[in-house]
Amino acid sequence: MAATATLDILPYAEGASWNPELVCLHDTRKELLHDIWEWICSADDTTHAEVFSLCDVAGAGKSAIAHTVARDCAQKGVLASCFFFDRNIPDRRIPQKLFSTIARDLARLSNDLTEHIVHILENDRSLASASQSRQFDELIMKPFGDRHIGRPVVIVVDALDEGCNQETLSILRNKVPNLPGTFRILVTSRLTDNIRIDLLNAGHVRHTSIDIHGSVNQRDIALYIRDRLRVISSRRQLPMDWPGERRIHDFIRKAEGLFIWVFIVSEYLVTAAYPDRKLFAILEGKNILGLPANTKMDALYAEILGACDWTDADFVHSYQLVIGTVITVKTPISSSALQSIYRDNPILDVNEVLRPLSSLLTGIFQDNQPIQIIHLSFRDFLTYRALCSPEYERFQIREGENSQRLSFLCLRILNEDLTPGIPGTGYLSGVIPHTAGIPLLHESRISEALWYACRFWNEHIIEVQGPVTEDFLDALRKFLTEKLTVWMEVLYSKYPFQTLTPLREWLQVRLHVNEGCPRADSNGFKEAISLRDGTSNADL
Amino acid sequence: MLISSNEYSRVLEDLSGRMSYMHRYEDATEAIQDATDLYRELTGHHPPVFDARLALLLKQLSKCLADVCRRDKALEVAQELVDAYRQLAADQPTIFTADLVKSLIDLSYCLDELGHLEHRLEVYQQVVDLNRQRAADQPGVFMAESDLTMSLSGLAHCLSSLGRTEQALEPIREAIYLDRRASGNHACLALHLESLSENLGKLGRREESLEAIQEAVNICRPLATARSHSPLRDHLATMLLSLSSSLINIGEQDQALQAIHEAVDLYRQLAAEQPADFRGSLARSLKNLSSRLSDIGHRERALSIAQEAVDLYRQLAADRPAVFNVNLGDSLCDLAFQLSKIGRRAQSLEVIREAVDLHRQLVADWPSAFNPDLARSLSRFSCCLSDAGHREHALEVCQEAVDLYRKLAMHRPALHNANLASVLNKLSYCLTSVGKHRHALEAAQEEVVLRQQLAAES
Repeated sequence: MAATATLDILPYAEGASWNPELVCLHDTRKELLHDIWEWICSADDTTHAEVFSLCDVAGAGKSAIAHTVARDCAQKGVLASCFFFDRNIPDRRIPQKLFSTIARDLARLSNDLTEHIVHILENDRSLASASQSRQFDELIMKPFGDRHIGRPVVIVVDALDEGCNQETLSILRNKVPNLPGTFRILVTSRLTDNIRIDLLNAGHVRHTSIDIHGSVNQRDIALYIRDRLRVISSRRQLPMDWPGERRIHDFIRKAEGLFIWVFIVSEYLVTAAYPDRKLFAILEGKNILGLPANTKMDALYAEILGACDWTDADFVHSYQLVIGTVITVKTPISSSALQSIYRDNPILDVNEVLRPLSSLLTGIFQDNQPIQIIHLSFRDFLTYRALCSPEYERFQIREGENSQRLSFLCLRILNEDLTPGIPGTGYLSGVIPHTAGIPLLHESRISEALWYACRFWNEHIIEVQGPVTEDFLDALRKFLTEKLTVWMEVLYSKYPFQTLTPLREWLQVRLHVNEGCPRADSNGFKEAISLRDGTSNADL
Repeated sequence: MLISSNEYSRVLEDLSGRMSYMHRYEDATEAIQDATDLYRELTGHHPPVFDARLALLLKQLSKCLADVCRRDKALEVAQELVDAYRQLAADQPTIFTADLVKSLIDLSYCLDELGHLEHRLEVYQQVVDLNRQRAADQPGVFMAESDLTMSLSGLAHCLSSLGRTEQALEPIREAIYLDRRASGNHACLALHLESLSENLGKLGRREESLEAIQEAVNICRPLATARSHSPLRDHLATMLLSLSSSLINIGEQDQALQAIHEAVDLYRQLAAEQPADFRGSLARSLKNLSSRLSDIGHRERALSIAQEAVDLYRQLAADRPAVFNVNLGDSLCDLAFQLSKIGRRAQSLEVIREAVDLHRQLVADWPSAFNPDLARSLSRFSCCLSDAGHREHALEVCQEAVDLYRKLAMHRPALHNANLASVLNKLSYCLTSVGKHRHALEAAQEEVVLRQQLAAES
């Protein structure tokens, strides 16, 4: 029990593990999976650890392979740990929890290891928040450096490019070879420059790509397309042989080996009106052959988005609010939380906007499931590539504007929902005297939208650049005046400490920018936060 | 009205304390760091002032930093706190000197953790000086005097851990003198006498060491039994074990045995009352008793006590293997030795095999820490195998023990050369018994060279 409690101080990225629903279609990827398995079986204590890097374009199907390898290894009892990076999730778009999560998984390999790692942690608790290199050296290298394991120790790291930094790469390059040869680390990634330079030319790194235009991939994608079309025809009650052999061949040819393209097309056809016409439009509408993977994906995204009613001003406005929020939130939220965030906008129907885009988002049909964009390339399209192309301009999402709006909405939620008397609060304001510690707060008492506002208002505000409105300052003033303590009581019942120092710095800069705004001064706000005056009643 | 920074800093301080209480040490540290920064910023414009509130913040910050093992930073803050209290105490000595002393003691802990023993000694010297002043200013005040004697004993400990044992005698003697004069705190006197005995023992002054520990036991015994206070009884048992060592040193085997028996009885009572805290101590005292009995030829009795120690360590290791597996291995080694002494060879072999397996496992987990234990059990295993007539196997195991001790002696010759010589002797015997006379001679020659070195060094 004590050992588990000690291990618990190591940060663990929840949900970063493999998912049986995301594995490859049966009978596809046979050769590659076979090669990876051979490589895993060649693990040998007498040599050094190896990395297998699978790098290819976005949408080639790398993650499905990573999930499959993780599943197969878990079934055979050799999966030690896995970490699926994801730019949509706070813990999973940065590398800070990578090695602490892996170390915690590795500690479960045997009781001795648990004890050894606990022993190390008890001697130096600062390791829990130490740099990646120190965590790797102390929590992985030290217990494993000269340990005989006797079976492969497989670690799967997916989408390295979505969360790694230079330090991560340097560990994979320079430190991993010192681990025993039983370690086998499978890494998938898009091929970025620093991954090419820092990882692929190292002696212990085996590099492979999918070769999306190769005949093996063509065969696999054909299998996949036929499988997806069967699903669509049965769901939409289309003829068994829909859409016919000629169109199937055309579909296979035009997919050009890009699995994510096929996946999104088929998701679209499952839900869209007139699937037959939609398929025709995608295959025949525009020349999509021979384009770079990104451009090909962009064309598909534009096709799907273009089917919405862009002449309807209400839709255009709602699209910016809803999709802008989905893209900008710091952690994915459900559609009901989204609706709650826009409570002051009674006309907005979140589901009305989400429904036609269901092929590009996940989780929209379940009330309490977080909504996530389907693939990183869609985010890049909306926030970056659409801005650079007049053709796609109407789809663009400006993250800065959205963050500003979200910070204001968060403040309003905090001001409205953080009411006195929430059970479990009052411990910092002296309402409940003579208590030590922090009481447990029933999570169900706090709505998802309020939790979101509590956790992220601060992060959103400090991203705001340029002048802010007087309404915004009023909301902030109200929050700091009336709600700060209860906010702390709610947040810290569950979440880690947040410093307000960057907010105070932001306030000082912002009020300077807002110089033209008369009420900022007249209301005493400026003096209030200006600690530099050194007066004893200086305020936050 | 907006929440003021001062108020926010106070809320953060409260929050940090609560987070610490919940063992959320990282969070607690960040919160108190913010509270401190904010408060500093508030007061920072004035000429260097330092108030009691900042002192409290820094104290909490240093404690939090130590909790998360950021020792350098904890030291920095502890130093700042000392500087601050020094300033405050300069203006209002009656109010702040006690705090200054406490902050210096905290600083000394930080220095100890970082291994800065010289610096720690300097700091403790200041503690003693300040307490001396306080005791002089408040004659007859019990707290001031007991603070002084405790700090003298702390100073002695600092000196002793620097290897300056001779110098350590002086403050500890002064503490004893003061304790005797105050005639209030007998428990302190006993503890200080124990520490004196330990230092005298290190200096080879056996009779004086015995005398001191004997007095400590005599003072502690009525206190412990009268109040049946468990920490005192624990102290008494520890003192009795030290007393027995001192008695053995001067050849008083019977009295030594009596002292150990008394210690074992005390630990039996304590372990019955508070098993979680005292079963380990009981097992240790049983192990001690068994080897003492064996030394004076009470072999059957030694065997049954060794068996009891093994049983106890087995229970303890089942609950906390990381802590007690090594003790279990050692006690199995002892049991095997006792079994072979009375000729129960097969059983002895079985027991030593378990010890070797345990030590091998420990070495696999912590190679650097447990090699000496494995080497010891291998060497005993080899003896047991020889006794049972398994010559080839005995040779094999003995060779492994030699290799291990050779490695150990390379790193720490002072600690392991004698052991290496002993196992070389055994190796030579094993080689002879399988007819490899030339190799046996080589091993013996190596042993001779080592023994010559050892003789020259002593």
